[in-house]
Amino acid sequence: MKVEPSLAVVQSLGQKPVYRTSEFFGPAGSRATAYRFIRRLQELGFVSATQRRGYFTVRSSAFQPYQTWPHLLPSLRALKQARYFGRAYDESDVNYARRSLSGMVTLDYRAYELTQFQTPRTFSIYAEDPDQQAQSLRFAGFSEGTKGRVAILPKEGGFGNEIQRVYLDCLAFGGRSALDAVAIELLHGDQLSIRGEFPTDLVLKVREDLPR
Amino acid sequence: MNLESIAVRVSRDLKEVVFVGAFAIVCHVGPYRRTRDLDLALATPLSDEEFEGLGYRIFHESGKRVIRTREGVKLDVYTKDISGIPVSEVFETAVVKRVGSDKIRVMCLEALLIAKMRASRPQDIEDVQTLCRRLGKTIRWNVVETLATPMESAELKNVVSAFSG
Repeated sequence: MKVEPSLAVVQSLGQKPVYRTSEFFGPAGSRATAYRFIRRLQELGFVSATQRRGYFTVRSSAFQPYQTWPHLLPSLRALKQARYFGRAYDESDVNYARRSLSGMVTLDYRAYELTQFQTPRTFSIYAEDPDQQAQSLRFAGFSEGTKGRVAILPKEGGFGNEIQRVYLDCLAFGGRSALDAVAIELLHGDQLSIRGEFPTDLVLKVREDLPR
Repeated sequence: MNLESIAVRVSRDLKEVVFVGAFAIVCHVGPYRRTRDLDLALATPLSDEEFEGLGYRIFHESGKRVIRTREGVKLDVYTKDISGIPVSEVFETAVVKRVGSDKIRVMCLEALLIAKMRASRPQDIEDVQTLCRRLGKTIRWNVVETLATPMESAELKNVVSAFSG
């Protein structure tokens, strides 16, 4: 398995809310290599630019051990291509999407069904034909943008084991979804063949907070 | 019963309460992902008997004291500090938020950001990004300076700047 040098560099910087491009210069060895690594991380879906030039955010999944990265790439590719839709920008949008869209539900809503752990917010669904589903939402008065609570994702990678895929999607998404991944692992670990790594205190916290 | 109504009742029962954690974020930014528990700072620690007298249930799970409301909602009670911010300062800087027709006290945005930055778990990092993106312009930097180290203040300014476009 090929080790991505760009990920090794980002891991050396530690987890924080934002990074400056210049922070990459030292660990990458040169300015040019730093820019190349950042572009590579953006392609992979681990890094996103913020509103201000020269700053970016890194998904917490970039800090998973290297043997997990290849399993996260299909989820990251799908997340990168996600299209967000909103109409009223509240729960009613999700209710409509649940009734009208077909496909495999993942992330917040599926994680909530599996664990009852964390309240869901964005309804994410893998669609066979994202363009057709997007069009049906537009016909129903939805607008496409960045703030909508309905996300249509293109199918990327394997879907043979649904729980495994939802787990990897949560792991890849990172942030609060990493808690969903921990909760899925605690409750459905027997159905997972690929697992991430989490700090013990995080696992204990999730275990403690799981509903009884 | 929803978590907001339970928070209002907890606030009435325990009197000197400031809500912290994800529930405080909801009070600042509106609907947000959260677990079904309430994190709160208490001015004066209460004994098991006092909690039970108010209708709360006390369990000892894996050597830890766990407090639950009668609906089973877990209360994580802090009486000393929250990520190094003393509870006395959490109370001094707390803000009042409206929940329906009631009012509750929640950790101020600035303290919340500093506590989350110090914790730096994946969920805390996402919380800091969300708070800075949505409320970065309303941060009271004089409050940040009283609660954080100069390095933390500089780091927070960096985050706000990254999301301010």
